[in-house]
Amino acid sequence: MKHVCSIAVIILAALTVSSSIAKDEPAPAKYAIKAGKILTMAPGREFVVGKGVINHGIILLSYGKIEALGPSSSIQIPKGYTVIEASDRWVTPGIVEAHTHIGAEGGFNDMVTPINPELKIADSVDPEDIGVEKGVTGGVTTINAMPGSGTNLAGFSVIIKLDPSDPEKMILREYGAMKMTQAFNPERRAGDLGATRMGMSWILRQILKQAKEYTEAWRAYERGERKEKPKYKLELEKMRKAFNGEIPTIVHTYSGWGVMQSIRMFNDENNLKVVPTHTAYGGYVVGQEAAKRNGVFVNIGPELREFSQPAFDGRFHGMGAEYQKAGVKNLSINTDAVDWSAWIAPQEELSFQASMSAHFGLDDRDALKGITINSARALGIDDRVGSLEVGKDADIAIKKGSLLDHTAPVDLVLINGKIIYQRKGVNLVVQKKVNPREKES
Amino acid sequence: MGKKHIHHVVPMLLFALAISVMFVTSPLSAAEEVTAIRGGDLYTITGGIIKNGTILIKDGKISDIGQNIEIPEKAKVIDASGKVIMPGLVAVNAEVGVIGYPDITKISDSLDPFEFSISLALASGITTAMVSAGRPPGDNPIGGTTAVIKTFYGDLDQMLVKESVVQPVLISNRDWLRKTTFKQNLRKAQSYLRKLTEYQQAEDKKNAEEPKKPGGLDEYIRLLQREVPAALVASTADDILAALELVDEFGIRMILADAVEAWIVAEEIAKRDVRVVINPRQKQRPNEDISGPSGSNLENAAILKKAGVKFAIIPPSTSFETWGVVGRDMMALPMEAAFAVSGGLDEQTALEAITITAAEIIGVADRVGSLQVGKDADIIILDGHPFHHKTFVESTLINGKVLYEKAKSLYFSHITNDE
Amino acid sequence: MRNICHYILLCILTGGLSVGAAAEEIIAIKADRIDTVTSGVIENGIIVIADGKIKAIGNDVEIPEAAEVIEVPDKTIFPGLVNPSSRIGLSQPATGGPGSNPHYRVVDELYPHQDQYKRILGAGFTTIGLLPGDKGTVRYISGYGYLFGGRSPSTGITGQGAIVRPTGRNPEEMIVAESGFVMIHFQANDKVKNVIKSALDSAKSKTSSTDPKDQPLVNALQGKVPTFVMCNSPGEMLHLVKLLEPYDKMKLVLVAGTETYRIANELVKKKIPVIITAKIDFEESTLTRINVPRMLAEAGIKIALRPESDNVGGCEDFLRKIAELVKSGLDRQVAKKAITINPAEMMAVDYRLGSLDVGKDANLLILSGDPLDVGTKIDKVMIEGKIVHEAP
Repeated sequence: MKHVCSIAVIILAALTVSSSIAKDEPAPAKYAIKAGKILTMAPGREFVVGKGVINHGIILLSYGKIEALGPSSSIQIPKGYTVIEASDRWVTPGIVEAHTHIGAEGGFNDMVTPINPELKIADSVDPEDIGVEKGVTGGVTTINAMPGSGTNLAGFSVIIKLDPSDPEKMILREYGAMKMTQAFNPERRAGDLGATRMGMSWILRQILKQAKEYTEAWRAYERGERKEKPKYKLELEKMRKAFNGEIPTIVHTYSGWGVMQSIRMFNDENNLKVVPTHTAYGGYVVGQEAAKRNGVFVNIGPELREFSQPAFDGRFHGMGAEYQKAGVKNLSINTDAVDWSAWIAPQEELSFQASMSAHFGLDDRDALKGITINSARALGIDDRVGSLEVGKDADIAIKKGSLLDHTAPVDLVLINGKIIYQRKGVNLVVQKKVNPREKES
Repeated sequence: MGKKHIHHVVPMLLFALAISVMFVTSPLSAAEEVTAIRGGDLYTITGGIIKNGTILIKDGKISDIGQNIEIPEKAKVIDASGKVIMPGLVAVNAEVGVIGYPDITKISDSLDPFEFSISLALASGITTAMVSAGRPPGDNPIGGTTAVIKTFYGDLDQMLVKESVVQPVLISNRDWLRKTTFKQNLRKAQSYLRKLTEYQQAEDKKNAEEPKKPGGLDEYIRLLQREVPAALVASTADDILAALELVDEFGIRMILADAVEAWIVAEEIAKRDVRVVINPRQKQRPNEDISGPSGSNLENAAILKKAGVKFAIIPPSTSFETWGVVGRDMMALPMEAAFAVSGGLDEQTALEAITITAAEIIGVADRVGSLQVGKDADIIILDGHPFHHKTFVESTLINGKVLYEKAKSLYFSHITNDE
Repeated sequence: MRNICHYILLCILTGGLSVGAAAEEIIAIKADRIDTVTSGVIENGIIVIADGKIKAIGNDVEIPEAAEVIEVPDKTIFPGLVNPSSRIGLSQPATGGPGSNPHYRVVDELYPHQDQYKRILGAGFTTIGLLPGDKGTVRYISGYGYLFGGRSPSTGITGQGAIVRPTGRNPEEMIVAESGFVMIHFQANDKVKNVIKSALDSAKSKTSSTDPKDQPLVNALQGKVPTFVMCNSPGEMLHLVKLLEPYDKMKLVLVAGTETYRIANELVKKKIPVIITAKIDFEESTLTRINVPRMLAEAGIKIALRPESDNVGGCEDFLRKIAELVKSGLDRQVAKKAITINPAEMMAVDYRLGSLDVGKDANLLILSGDPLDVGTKIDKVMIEGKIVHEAP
């Protein structure tokens, strides 16, 4: 009898054990990361040891947010927190990508009309895109997925987190940025108006004027300054978000005149927060103008250096370094990733883009900011992501050494406090004790 | 920077100076000179790292290596304190130094020591490269010719190392006509060689008839006699296995190029002692139609190493680019090896894959690829670890001659990465 | 009576013709400055010309009584310009190759009745070396590391160049030398090399030959005619020099582009003169200007300059471009030689033209000032004693 009882107890215990480690148990909502080094990227104190840089620190995450962080001595790990053992590793915010073309599918260039203010790419977010899966392996956690540059106003991008497990929750902001193109790609299409730069500028000015007036009309109406309700125009509604300062305008632009044009047209004339992107073929010559304006956020990539143009001095000029020299403080770097190939930077190599910018003279610190907090600021999502600060999303990347070091891969990535990726063969999660008889793993 | 005046006058002065120096320095006096590089960490590749070491160079060769070596009085000393000294890098396949006409059949006749990419190669630390040329039209599986060259700017005579080192073979599983032709020709050549051996071993030569050498099979005979390896592109596991069948049947030497899925069949590759060339960052989606592993894998290199396969590493592009996209062409060869390390490869093997193993694969390991006494003095001095993202090549020497100095070149002298 | 009238008419006509014919005229030109190029500048000089040749030149020269005296007190006399490398007035060249066609002759292509020739005369050119094959545009390597420009020429031994005067009503009147030089259009690959080598080897064994394919090569091998070689890049020139090493009596002249300075020491060593474009170029990948003619000249290489564009516009612009080169450091006298006596020497016709010396053809320009001064105009052009161009 006794035998049967003990066997029953054992079986019962085993069942309890197995049920408690059953696959459908929700992931732990609380983590404590023991970190060898934390780079918080916190604005204003990014690389000061003790504030922006914490050696031997602890981060507490709960319910998708950062609950606390600081030196190990100052933080007590409460009960019930699953420990992530990263004492020999660096912990950084998840990488933020401000300009990419993965994550949404279905042909992102609608070329019928030169401007498409009605289109938003949020409607075609594709969680199964290979870039989503691969991006995470490179520590990328948030991306601004953009429509293409075939037309002057391609529509609106979407900001998503690279956690495909719940497509609804992927979208961080439905209207990421208003996407415009100042030069080059739209010139491919021989159409009527818009095939030349003059034509493009005219088209852009027209639509901006309309949207500005529309926004002002609504603002006046909402304040009671205007009695008559403005006529509702679907295609301009979305642009109001840009004019109201809710979302930035990302402008695909090149060379000195193009970047200056973008700065003038969007920031100076229309008071829009503008992110000139690409800016190759000599854009950096107007770096000082960008630096002067708080509403301008330069984003470079996939090209990161210039030879011949614009300097023609036989030297390789790092675009990041040149912007830094010109005083630009909010520089962000992109991959402009399309599909998944080795020929041009794939999504997971955004950190490599930062390394290469650093190679050509950009400070390592600015290179790292350029893929975290500066991207977040450019997108206006720095209240949520881009740095490790209390209250922000628990989007975290863990690896041995700096993100700029490519001899070590990213080991673990959390998004919204959930482990989205852990490299095969690595297990940093300290398993909880389930049964007193079981050894601690 | 007072640009306008200086830029105008200085190049002319430098040129005039260079001309006069060229007259003054006869080749003979340079050869008798000894050069010493000292003070840095010598990454010998084959003999470990010698900290704070010295290399002596004489007559274009490495004459001594060690920690406490006496430097001759009249030696020209290059102070490399705090630097990393390595053998010049070896690109197992690159586009450099050849004047690009389509109908080249002998590369040594088309080398151009002033070709633009040579300067970029020197600035990237690449001193030896295998170049290929001449894709014949039609269905000929024999695909052109190769040569190993040094990136010796300005001196045609010092460029060529070896001609026809590797035989490119243009076949794949999908191209059955070429593959069939290849096999048939190999069999024909095999049969001829068998008859030739019989004839040579025949006691009664008068009655034996010397077999006539069939035309158009010279390359096949060289392959069968294992004079050169066949190099073919084999990206999928199936392609690789099919290629290995050729090794089994004909006993030829082989290099598997672009071997993206080598990791899947690493053991099979190891059994045949063939060589492999991989690009660690190569991307190939897994094939959803097949069961079992497929696609690219950053751990490719590590897995091959574990299985005992010898391989070389190249980046996604084999040319030297000046456009804005960085880090994906030949100028970033060490970065590619760094990525292999992130995939689990040990650092030593990663370095070998861009030096000695690469040299071995292209048949010049007796001369280059490591810092050893007696080898060519093809040496690079780096300002940091080769896999660090901020490292630049500071000096490049070939045959003991300094051909590139970062501080004196326009390319990167304005970039000072003080960390 | 009628017969006598006809006879007198005939005499007048023939007399008129013979008077018009330069050969019998004696001309004396008196000018402020006579720049001989080879023997210095003669102030207040006199040139006496008879039978189309310079009979006397100097300060204190006796003027024959029968001489027609041309007084041009405020003018400068300069030798007619020599362009040793052109295809002006010729049709499109053959493409393809490589081949060995030493029997092809440019003289067979000549078509004199062209406005182009009149205009290049007006630009001061009295002697042109016409090349078989390509128009002479040379490829160069840009900062992007690739070659562009020009069309692929016929390669190998492309024929015999002609030395002509840009005047005449028929080809014979144009020709100064019908087998002026042998032309090699070179490309660095084994096919081209083999074609050249076998052609030269086959000719080497012969001391003379009546075979139209061999004789030109025999002459070239013996150094009796120059061999012009056109290479696309300095690296290719190194290959060519190696290839032609066994044929050490050949008189090589390099027709090349501005990258040539990279092999300057090799050219100096082998004493190979260079025909080079008259322009200020850019150092590779930069906007730093370099004066390649100056660099070569200062290295000790004999240079001849040819117009940047092988057309009327290029010729009319030529002296201005030379002046630019001089302004940025090319020695003035070297520049003058590079457009007169040097190209004449390279084409082995310096015995008869290229400078103002006794015994040479009276090919000269009457200019409003020094040819390399800004604003200088060409008043008159004379070829072998006959005025062939007068500025309107």
